[in-house]
Amino acid sequence: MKRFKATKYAVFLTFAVCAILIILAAVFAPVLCAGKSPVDAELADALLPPDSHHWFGTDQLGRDVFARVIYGARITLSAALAVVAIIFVLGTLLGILAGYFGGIMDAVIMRFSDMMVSFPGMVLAIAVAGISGASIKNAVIAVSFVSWTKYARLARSLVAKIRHSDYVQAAVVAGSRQWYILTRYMLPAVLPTLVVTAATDIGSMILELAGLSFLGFGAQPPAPEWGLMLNEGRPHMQTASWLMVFPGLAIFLVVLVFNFLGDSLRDVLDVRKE
Amino acid sequence: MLEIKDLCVSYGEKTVVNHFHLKLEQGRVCTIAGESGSGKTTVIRAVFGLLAAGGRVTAGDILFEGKSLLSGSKEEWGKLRGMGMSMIFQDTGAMLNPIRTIGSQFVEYIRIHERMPKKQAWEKAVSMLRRMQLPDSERVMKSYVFQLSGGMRQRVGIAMAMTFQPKLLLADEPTSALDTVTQAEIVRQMKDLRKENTSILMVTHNLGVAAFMSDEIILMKDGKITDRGDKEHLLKSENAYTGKLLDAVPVLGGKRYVS
Amino acid sequence: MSHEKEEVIMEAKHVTRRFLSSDKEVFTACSDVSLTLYKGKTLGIAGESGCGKSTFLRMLTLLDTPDKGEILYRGQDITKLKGEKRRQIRQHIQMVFQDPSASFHPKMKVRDIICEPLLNFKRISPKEKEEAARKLLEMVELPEDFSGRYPHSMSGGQKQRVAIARAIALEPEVIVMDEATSALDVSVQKNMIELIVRLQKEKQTAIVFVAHDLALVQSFAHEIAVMRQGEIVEKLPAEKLVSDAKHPYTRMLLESGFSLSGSPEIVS
Repeated sequence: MKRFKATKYAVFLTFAVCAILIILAAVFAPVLCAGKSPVDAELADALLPPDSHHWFGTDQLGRDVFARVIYGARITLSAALAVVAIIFVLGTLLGILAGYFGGIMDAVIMRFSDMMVSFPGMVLAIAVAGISGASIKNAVIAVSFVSWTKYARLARSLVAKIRHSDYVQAAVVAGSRQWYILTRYMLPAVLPTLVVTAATDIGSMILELAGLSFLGFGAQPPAPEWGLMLNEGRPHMQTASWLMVFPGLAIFLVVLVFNFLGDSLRDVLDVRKE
Repeated sequence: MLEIKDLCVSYGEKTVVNHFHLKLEQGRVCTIAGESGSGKTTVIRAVFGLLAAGGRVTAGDILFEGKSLLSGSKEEWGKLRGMGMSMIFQDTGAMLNPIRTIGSQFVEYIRIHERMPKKQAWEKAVSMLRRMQLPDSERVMKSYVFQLSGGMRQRVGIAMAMTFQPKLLLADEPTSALDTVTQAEIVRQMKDLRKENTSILMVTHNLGVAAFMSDEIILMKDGKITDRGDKEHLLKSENAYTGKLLDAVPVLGGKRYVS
Repeated sequence: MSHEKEEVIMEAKHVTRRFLSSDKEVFTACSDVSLTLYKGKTLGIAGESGCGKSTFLRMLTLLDTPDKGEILYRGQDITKLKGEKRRQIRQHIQMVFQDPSASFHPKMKVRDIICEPLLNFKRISPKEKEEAARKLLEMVELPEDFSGRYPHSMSGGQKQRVAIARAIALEPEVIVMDEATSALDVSVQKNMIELIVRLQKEKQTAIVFVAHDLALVQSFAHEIAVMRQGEIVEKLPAEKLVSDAKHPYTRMLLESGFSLSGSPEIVS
C-alpha cells in the first residue's frame, strides 16, 4: 500500500518535472536558441534540411525551425494557460455561486451555461475573429467563452452535494458569514476535483488553440505558433517534411506531458481524500 | 444445535473475538449484547461465514448440528445459508436492489434455493409476507424498496430469511434502525418465530430488547465475554460492567438527572 | 406545572411549515406548533422519525423559515430578520447535530472547530484561539492536546463532546440538540447526559432535546412534548409523564419501550 502511494508521487513528480522543463524552455528560449531569431527571414537559407547549424532545418523564408518551435512554446503555453486560468476561475466562481445560493441565481447561471454548451467553440471563434480580427488574444477569449461551463457544472454539483450537510449547517448556526462559508467550506470542497480537471485541460486547450491558429483564426504570421507553423509548412509537406514534423512533435509531446500530469495529479489528490 | 467452541477471530494483528463459546438449542433465543467495538457482530458474521475482508478465525470451531462449519467446504456452507440458517441485518433495504421490485427479488431468491415455477414461487413469497403480517402483501410484492417504511422493509427481510424455515436465524441489530413503536412490533414477531422451532442468535446493543426476547444473554466487552445468563441473572449480577451498562440504560419512571 | 416564576427565553407560536413533495402534494411537517423555552430548563420533544421534530429545530435555529406563525426570542420575532441582524441572533441559539461524524469540516482541527463561533462574532482574536480552545475542552472534559487533532481520529463520544464545546462557546441562552446521543453507546450516552445537565446548571441554558426514545428524554428533561405527524399531541411535566399521560399516542410510545424489568404491552 505504502509502495503504491510512493509510486503515485514518483509518477506525479516525473511529469511535474517534465512540465517545468517545458515551461523553462519557453522562458529561456533566447538562451536555448543561442541568439537565433524566430522571425528574422534569411531567404538565402530557405528550406534547408536539418543539419548541425539548423537542428530542425529552416522554413520557406529561411527562418530557423528550432528557434520557431522553442519560441512557439511561449505563445502556445501562455495562451493555453491563460484559457485554463480564465475558465477555471470563472467557472468555479459561477458554479459555487449557483450551487450555494440556488434559486434565481442558479437558474440564470445554468441556463446561460446551457446556451454556451450548445454553441460550437470553433464557430464562435470564427465569429469573434470576423468581428474583431483574428489574433491569439481573440482566440483565447473565444475558447474561454465556451469552455468555462464544464467547471461551473462540476463546482455546482459538488457544492450542491455538501450544501445541506450537517457540517455546513453547523457553520451557519455558528454565525459564519456567507463569504467565509463560500471560501472556507465550499471552495476547499471543489478545489481538488477542479484542479485535476484544469491540469488535464491544459493539453486539450493547446490542441484547441493550435487548431484555431491552423485555420487562421488564432495567431497571425509571422508569430511562431505551432498550429500556424503546421499550416505554413503544409504546401511543402512533400519536399520539406521537417516543417510539419517538428511543430507536430512539439504539440504531441507537450499535450502528452500535461495530460499525464493531470492524470497523475488525480491519483495523488485521491489519496489525500482518504 | 449450534455450538461455538472457544472461538477466536482476528483482523490482521488485532484479536477482536477472544475465546467465545456458546451452546444454542433448538427453539431457543440467545442474544449477544455489548457496546460498539465489543466484537459481538464479528461472532455472528463468523457463524454465517461472512467475515469482513481481513478477518479470519484463528482458533476454535463452530458446529452446526454437530458438523463443523469451518472444516467443511465453502460450497457446503453456502448451501446451508438460506436453507439451514439465514441472516437479517440492521437495514434490509440496503441489501435489496433499489431498482427492482420486492417481488422479483423475492421470487429469484426462492428459485435460487429451490426449483419451482415462477408462479408457485410468487405465491410462496406472498404467503410468507402475509405471515409476517404485512398488510396488502400483493402490493408490497410490486413495490420498490424506497416505497416501503423501515418497519415494512425489515418485515420483508424476515419473511425472506424465514422462507425455508431455517433452523437458525442470525439477526444483526434487527431493530436498531427502527422507531420504538415499530421496534416493539418487530421484536414481538421475532419472538413468535420460536413457535416454529427456529433458534435465534441475535446481536443488539439494546439491553431491553435482549431481555425481552432471550433465554440467554451474553455480554461482551473488548472481544471477551464478561457476563452471561438470563434476565434475572443479569439484574442481580455482581459483575461491575453489567451493573454499569444496566445503570446507563434510561428507564421510564426511573432515575432522573434533574429535578 | 406552573411557569410563573420562570423566565421565558424563546417562544414558538402557531408555527406551521409545509413542503411540496415531488408529486405536487402538500406535506405538512409542522402544524400549529406552540412551545415555550424557559431559562435553565430542558424541553424534551419525543416522536418517531418523520414526525416533524427536525423541521421544527431547523426553524428554531433559523436554518428554515415557517410558512405561518412566529418564533420569538426574548419577545422579538426572529423569523423575519434578514442579513446581519439574523446572524447576530445566532449567537444566542446554538445547535448540536445528530451524527457526530458528519458535523465537522473534514479538514479542520478541533481548535479551529470550537473557536469558529468565537471568531465569527469577534469574541476573541485569532491569537487567543489556543487559550479559548483549552478552556472549552476542559469544560467538556476532553484532554487539552485534542486541540490539535482532527475529529475523524476520535470516538463517537469524543466527537459529540467537541460538538458540545462548539455549541457552548458563545454561551448561548438556547442549545438545540437533535438526537444528539442516539449514535452513541448507552454508557457513553449516560456520560453525555451528565455533562449536558452539569453545563446547564452552570450556565442556566435553555435546552431543546429531541429524541425518539421517551425514556431517555424523560430522564433529564423538565417538560416533555410528544409530537406526531407535525402536531404536538401532548405536553406535560417530565416527572408526571408515566402517571399523567393521557393521549393514546403517548401511551403507545410509553408502552413500546423495552426495559429490563418489564415487557411492553402494545395496544393494538
